[in-house]
Amino acid sequence: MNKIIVEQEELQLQEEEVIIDIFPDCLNLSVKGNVYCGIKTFTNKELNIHLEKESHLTLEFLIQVENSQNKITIQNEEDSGIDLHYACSYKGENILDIYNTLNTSNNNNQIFVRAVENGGTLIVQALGQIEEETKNNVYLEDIKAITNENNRIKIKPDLVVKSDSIHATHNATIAPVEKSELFYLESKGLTKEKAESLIKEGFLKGIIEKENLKN
Amino acid sequence: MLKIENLVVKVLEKTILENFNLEIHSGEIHALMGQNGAGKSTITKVLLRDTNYEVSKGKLILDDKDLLQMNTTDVARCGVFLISQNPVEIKGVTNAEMLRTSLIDQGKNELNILEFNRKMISYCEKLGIPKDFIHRDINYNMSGGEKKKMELLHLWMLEPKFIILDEIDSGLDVDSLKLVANSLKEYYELYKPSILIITHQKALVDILKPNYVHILNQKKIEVTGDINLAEKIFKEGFSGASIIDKSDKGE
Repeated sequence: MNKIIVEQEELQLQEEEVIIDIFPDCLNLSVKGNVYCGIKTFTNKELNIHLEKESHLTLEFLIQVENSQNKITIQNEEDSGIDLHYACSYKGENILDIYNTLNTSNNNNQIFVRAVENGGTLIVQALGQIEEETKNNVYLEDIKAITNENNRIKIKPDLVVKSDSIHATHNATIAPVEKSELFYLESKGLTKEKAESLIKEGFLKGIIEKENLKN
Repeated sequence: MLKIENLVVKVLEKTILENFNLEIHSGEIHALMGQNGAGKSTITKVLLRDTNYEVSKGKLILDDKDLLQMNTTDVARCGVFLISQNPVEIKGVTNAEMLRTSLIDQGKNELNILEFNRKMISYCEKLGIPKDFIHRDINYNMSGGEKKKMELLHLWMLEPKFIILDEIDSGLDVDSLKLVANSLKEYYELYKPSILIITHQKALVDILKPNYVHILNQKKIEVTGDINLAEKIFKEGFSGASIIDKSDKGE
């Protein structure tokens, strides 16, 4: 898979699979055709995605953030879609904003966020707005976080639906590490700390499709 | 040797086991049978020190070590290995990752990565497991039979000396059950571990041939016998079997 260092504020991707390293604070990303894009570092960035007609983007983040404020905005032309997989471990005070206004039809946008605390707080604000007179759109937001008792996470899913031809869903789950998973790994001889670490890492990697990004 | 003495176990203030006694000597195979809800799985979880199960009285000794003073990791590192009815799925954690981490953490990492992979592949072939399962997430999206075979793969890799099989037969078709039972028999013949089997299946008992069979009833072991007791249960059910004379073992 190609790796691209992005130094400009504009980038167009077309029928390709890439891992990108973004230098500017703001990037306007235009997508044509089927594109895979992986991101390993993303701190204090703004990413504006424009999906051209009949295009599809799989966008995967596997990142660590610390005192970071990230913003992702998605715009669809007709018959387009995005699978956004945002997996992060967080430290310090962090905010993630995801905005998606659908004012065209026949789009399929699926947004998955997985967050693991590593000492700190995270606020996730996800706004999906489906405008009137749009048809056959699918919109999914699925946000899950593993957290400890002493840390704080706030998830604010916000779904505004003005169309009656839409399949829209949003889920938000915040929970500590699953006890049965912990017991299972401990019963195979792993220490509690190692078991927790594997489970958290696996929770993040579980939504990532490409091995290149995981390694 | 495992020695369980006058054990009282509670879950959320409810007593599940009371005055539970059992001795399993090194290399012995014991079968624990009983009706649904009798508390058979409870004893497996207690042995592995699941914190959901409170031991309010009694002793739990394995080779002179007090298991009640240990956590789950320590018990596993004493060589105790559990295959439960429904092994959990852990998305994102692969079998290879878990096994290698366990072996390294326990200082049993004599194998380099190539030898480790070669060993895993050879066990996969023996167990009829596709090789790529090694790098798949633990039990994730696997059938009941595949999960049990993967647990057996873990067993062969970790080489425990005390094995607890909690209805390993559930979810297995006839062929898979024979394969699993024969693999366990092979492991037993090679390493001579102690085995505690919880089962309702005749085929597993026929192949593993336990030295002792216990019936759990009224929160404790009510009857102990040999393999004929299991045969009688398979023929007549638990009510028929309970008329057999009690032996000293496990009482």
